[in-house]
Amino acid sequence: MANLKEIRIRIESTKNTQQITKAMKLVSAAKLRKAQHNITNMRPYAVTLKQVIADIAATQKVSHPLMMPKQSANNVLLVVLTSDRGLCGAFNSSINKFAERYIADNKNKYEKIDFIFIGKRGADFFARKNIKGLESITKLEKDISYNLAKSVAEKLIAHYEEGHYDEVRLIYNEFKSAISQKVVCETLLPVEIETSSFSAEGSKFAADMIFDPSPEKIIEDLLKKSFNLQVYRAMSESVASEHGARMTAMENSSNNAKEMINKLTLNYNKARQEKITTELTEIVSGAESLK
Amino acid sequence: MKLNLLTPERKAVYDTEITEVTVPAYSGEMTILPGHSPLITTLGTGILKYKIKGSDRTHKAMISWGYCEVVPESVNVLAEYMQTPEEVVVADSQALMAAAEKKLGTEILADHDYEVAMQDIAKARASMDLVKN
Repeated sequence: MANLKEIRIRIESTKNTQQITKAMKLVSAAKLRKAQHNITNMRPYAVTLKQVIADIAATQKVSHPLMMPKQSANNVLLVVLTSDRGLCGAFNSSINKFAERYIADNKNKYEKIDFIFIGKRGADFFARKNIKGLESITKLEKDISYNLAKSVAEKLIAHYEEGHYDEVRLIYNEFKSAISQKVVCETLLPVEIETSSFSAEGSKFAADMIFDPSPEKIIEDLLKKSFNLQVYRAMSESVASEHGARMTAMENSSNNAKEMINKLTLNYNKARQEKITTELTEIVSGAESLK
Repeated sequence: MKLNLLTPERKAVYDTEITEVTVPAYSGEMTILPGHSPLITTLGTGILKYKIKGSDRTHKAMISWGYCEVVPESVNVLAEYMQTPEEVVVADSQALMAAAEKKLGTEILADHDYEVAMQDIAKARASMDLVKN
């Protein structure tokens, strides 16, 4: 039986850990709320933008190279979105595993697979495997801003337009709920727009609509903005997922700490009881022998 | 006529009855009054002004890249970036401008970086104009 002092110290330190994990959980909960708020705020903008692109594409019969799927995809650019910090359960490792498996599965299918890592965890993981990305964007700001997403999106478009890649895919954690995240692999480019559901008759566009500049130019602008937004959405979802995952992880560790404290307290009491019994026996037998 | 002004980060104006709105359109500043014919245009960096029905006060906001759609019942504006006069920090705008100007003056920039620098300057200038008058 460990001695009393040792157990007492362990209980103390576990309590400290529990306090930290509890605090981290609360912080994550607050950040999660903010991230969710971001996602909701973006929705009206996203819906309008999508609707307009579909409307213009359907009524004006315009198209754009960004919308055209390539006949065969040989060179793929994979964007791996992770977080900068750990302590969030399986959040990063599931992404890394998914990306690794994706490479293994598709190695023979494509000529070249290149990477862009967003977030330190993914970059570090693959750096250990001697896979270097085209670029690693780490030190994300505290909150992912639209500006950051925009700069990433513009880089991706530039790579795509220069013809280095036929497809740009993004692996990230989709936010399902505070306790569940799903790793998804999404095709970013070419842009997929469902024009089929919008017919020219169904749109609210007047026939004499004035376009300034031309519909082609407008749709190009809109497509690029919509792409920026798509990247922003994925990033926001990833941030929300990260906080959700961290919240769950911290909740679990708080519970574990509690369990541990209970167990240790029980041991402590047992040890104390034993000590008292031993002392009592000693006193009694001492008194006995004096008789 | 209703005005909707949306950005990726917030819903700035939504379903608000207005009497007129001025936007920095693709081919120059443009004021839209009720009964305007249907129109679609992109917006540059500049100042958006609107008057809410029943009030004479002109509300202003600085926007950078936008899309504007005029349909009979409403004007829908999507702006990539916006600032209200209360949000402008002059020192920040000046810093942004100085940084962009320095970049333009000292470095040889690729097309994309050049555009970004020009945009930054336009943004900073619009922000400063917004608080000036």
